[in-house]
Amino acid sequence: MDPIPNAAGTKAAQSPPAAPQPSGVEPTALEAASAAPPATQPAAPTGWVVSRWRKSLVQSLGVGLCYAIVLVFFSVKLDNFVTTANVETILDGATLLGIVAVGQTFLIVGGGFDLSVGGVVPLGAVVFGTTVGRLGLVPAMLVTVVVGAGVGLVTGLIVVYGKINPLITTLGMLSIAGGAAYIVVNGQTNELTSPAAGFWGNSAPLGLQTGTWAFIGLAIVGGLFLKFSVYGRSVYTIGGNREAAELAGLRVNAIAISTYVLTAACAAFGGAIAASQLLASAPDIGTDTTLNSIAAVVLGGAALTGGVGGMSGTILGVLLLGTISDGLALLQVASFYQTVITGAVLLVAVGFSRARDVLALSSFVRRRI
Amino acid sequence: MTLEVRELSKTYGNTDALQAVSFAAYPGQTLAILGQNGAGKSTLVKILAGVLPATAGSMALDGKPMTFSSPRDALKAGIVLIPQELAYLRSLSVAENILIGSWNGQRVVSQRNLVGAAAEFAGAIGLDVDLAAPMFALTLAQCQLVEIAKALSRNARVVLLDEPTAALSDVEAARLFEVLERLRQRGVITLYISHRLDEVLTHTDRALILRDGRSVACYDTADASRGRLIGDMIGGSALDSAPVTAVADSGQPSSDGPPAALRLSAVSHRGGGLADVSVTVAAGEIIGLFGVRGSGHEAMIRTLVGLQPHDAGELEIGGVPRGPLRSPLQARKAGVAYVPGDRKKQGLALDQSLRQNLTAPQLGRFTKLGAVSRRREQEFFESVASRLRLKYATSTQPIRELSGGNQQKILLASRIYMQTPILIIDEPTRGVDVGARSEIHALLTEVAETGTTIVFATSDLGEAVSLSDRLLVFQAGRLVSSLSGADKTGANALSAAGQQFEVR
Repeated sequence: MDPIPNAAGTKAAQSPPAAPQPSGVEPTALEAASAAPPATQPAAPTGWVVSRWRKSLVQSLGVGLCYAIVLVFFSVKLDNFVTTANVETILDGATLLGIVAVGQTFLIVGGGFDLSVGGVVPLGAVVFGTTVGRLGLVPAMLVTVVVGAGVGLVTGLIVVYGKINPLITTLGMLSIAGGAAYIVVNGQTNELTSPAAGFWGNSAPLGLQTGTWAFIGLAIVGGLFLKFSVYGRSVYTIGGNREAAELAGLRVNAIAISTYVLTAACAAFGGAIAASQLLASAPDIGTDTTLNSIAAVVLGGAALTGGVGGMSGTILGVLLLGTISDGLALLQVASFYQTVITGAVLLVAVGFSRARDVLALSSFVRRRI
Repeated sequence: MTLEVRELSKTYGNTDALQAVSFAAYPGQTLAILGQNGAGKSTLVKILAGVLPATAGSMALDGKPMTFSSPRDALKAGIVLIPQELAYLRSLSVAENILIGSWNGQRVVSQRNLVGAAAEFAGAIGLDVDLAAPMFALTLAQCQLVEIAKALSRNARVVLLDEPTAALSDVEAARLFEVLERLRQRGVITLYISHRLDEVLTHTDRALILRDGRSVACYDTADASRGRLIGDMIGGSALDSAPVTAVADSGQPSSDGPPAALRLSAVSHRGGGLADVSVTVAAGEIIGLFGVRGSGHEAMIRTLVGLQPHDAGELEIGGVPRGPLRSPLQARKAGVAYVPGDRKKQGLALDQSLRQNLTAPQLGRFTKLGAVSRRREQEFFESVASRLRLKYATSTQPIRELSGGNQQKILLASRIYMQTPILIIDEPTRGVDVGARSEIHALLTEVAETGTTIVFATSDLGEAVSLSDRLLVFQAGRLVSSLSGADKTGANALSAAGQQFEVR
């Protein structure tokens, strides 16, 4: 592919802080401006600042307040809640959901979402389980991630080029991948006996498991990648206005497909780690990650319409869900209540985000009038 | 039964969209509402139809004063708007659409009963289609007739048509006029927005001419001429017979000097409304494209930016022959940047920051060690902001909060600073206030002086004339006139754009 004629040359020739100038549009004016503060006085920002402040307040109220309430509640109710061991338990328990949610964040910020992760996670688990004994740890992980990426590629191609609604497509892929997981192991739960298989369950620094560190690493790398790479920033642009991104000449299709690949690869990776931690590969590992991963991302402040959200919010959402499930388990609440409570928390958070929009809109209207 | 409008005004913020417009229309009369874009035509019609509230003034039908708080009120009073973008229920039958809302007072809907009832209205306007067929089986022209039948079923006394013929073929338009003639015989008042002046001269009784929100003239079309209408619309002196040069610009091969920035030879798109367009554009030239809707200037833009690859002819950019451009990405690689016409829908991510919107198309240039550097982005933003005199609070506020003019400046800057040799702009200043408009014009002129070629399309005649070095006028997919120098006047452009209707 040939480079954009002008830009490439200029970019190479100039050094920072060069906001590269179009050849000749008053370079002097531009240089002067980048040295001095902008000539324009920011126009009476008070109204805006207030609305911004209120918006972010309401947003952090959403997850932050929920989290605070949950923490206080469990601390009061339980003696063994605020202990190092329990914090480790929460983090270890959040690993699978966290890894899936990292991928899901890219997809939701880009304006899509993937229901199929609940099928790709168990598929990853059983692929890892059946290959790790023969191939060893690293090749088995590679195979697992490639299988996951392949599922994501198919999903992405169908959504982008087949122009089939992502809801339908990923619902179909959920069923296909989930079914394939059962087929691979013939519906059986297999114990993993090879010495390499338990790697992700080994204990690592700070009393956490290896897999948990993998999650933490992935979250950090993913977060930086989303926020600072050209790719990540383009994902925001596409999520913000897909048509505009396309007309601006961004690689909209390639990026959209790649987010599906990324998400499914994460899901398969998470499945492998879960199987390794459990020392068993079962076709029902992580089938609940579909709802929970989307819930975590939305709890973290992302909008399902795309273009808004971020990794730190997602991680907060994951930890909130993980903390609730841990606390309820300690309280010996039956696990099926947890599903109900997770759903309720999601609705409360979405309610907050709706309130945020309403507040933002009302301040917008007020300023207009 | 007379429609009387007195001193009607509409204000948006500081803008007067309509200022004390008064007129009257009598039963069976067809009144044309004429004016340039932004003259207030649509605002007037929307107020009459109850879509918008008036700021001041009054309306009366048959001496009874009317105040509408919704389109529903207007319908009850017998005023029906047939908008440009028809709104109908695609999968319901024609009869159901005609009788919508009342469904003939039935509680249980019987299709046969409906068809029988709808036949009366369809018959009244000579609409000859299967009334039980679903709406989507109809052509656009037939859908329009259904709208009129629907208006009759509601006992419409005033029918408002917003550019009804814009998307119709001549045959279909002729058919529409027959139907309007029947309405006239039934004593219905018709108000009619159109840009096709010849149509107005033959098919309407009176013309109300708006300019900048004021009514500047109202007279019988029998007394009018094209020149008079155009003169009143643009406010200059009337020029009756403007010369129209036939196809103008044959690409002269430049034997020496740099290659042309852009050259089209016989570029066509079957079915896409572009036929045999040949033009050569030099580096640094500003080319305006003008024409009535669907006459080819939009198609030319789409061709150049990769949205509608041409299927015949040759395209050369910067002396390099290019095949049909199949995507905006491909166009960009060929050296073409595109500023879309619908800023909010196609140009910006409204909930994202000013900075992100400015840098999104060219993030690669702000990277440092593979990461996009906030600091370099911010420096770039500030330099652009001061250069364009942006009014904003901080670079991280959502762009939704800016005025149209400031939004448009950022959108333009995001493409100008891509530094492609060619910049294609659809509507450089739509929905932008006067001050920002002249700033944008100055900016574009300056950019062109650096050697960037600018091709823009506009529906604003003043802009087409004043911003362009050369104005290309299109009709029926063809490039019919290339105006420059002293020939580049609004009257010439309008006349060339409307030539089609004079001939037929």
